[in-house]
Amino acid sequence: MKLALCSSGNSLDSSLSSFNHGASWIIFYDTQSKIIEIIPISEPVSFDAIIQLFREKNIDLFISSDFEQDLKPLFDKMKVRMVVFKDIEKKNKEIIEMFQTK
Amino acid sequence: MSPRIVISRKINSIPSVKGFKPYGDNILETKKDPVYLTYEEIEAIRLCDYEGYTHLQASSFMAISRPTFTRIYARALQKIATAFVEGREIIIHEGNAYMDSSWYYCSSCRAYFTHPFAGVPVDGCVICHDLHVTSVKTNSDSTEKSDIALGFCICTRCGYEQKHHPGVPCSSQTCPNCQHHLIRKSHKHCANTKKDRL
Repeated sequence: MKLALCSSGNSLDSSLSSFNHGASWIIFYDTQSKIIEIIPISEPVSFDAIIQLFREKNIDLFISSDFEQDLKPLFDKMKVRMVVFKDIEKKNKEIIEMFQTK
Repeated sequence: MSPRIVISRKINSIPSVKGFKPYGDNILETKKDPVYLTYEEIEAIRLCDYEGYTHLQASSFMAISRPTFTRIYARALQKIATAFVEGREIIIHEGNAYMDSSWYYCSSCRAYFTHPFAGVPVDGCVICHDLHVTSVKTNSDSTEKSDIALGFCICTRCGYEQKHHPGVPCSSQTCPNCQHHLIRKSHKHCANTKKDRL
């Protein structure tokens, strides 16, 4: 499974962030190969570029602390599951560990 | 007497645009109030005029009765006609709708997640695989609110209650205990139910 996490910083110790407000990095994680890739989000956020990136990387899960409702049909169409953790203190590595311990 | 409870309407997806603006030479001179179209009204137009379904078919997609669908559809046409004739802006807003493939909540890992695979049942949390996941509506905070909005059918003779199903008249249902016809709980005759007397 391939994950994408919205992050406020460029490390796994950074906290999860909202996709639209505050996310400046996206962390990609492959649960099979355990490869982690961190990519900065350019300002202003280009949705088309991100969608293209997700298609290239075959992302299954997109994790954030919040999404705008308008984005759901877009990701539904791409069959990408959106996951929201309302706990804004949650660190990226905590989420990745949840997949490693399964 | 309290107003009738309005149930949420099921829509397939959020409209792709947030509104429409007229253009022309005298638009700026005669600035008029915009017309507000709700998601359910757009959905009614989409199902009937774009997809070509009958009112009966479309009403089942939106989980409402056929007369309710016809009222929503007529209201949508009336608003669009007003905007076209008077040269008004159309603004699309949420209204009282929820999406078919909505959000789910896992109480174990406290994650909200979507399930974009139509026809495939949700087999647990996508993160922790816990089976205790609940459906969450898009325009409400919890599933409890949806139950309240739908209301209950009640037997005035013995006080039996069951959850109301949209599009199925309460009067067409009978009480399993005393075979009496059910009515909506908010109905004025409910004040005389056995439960209330007790």
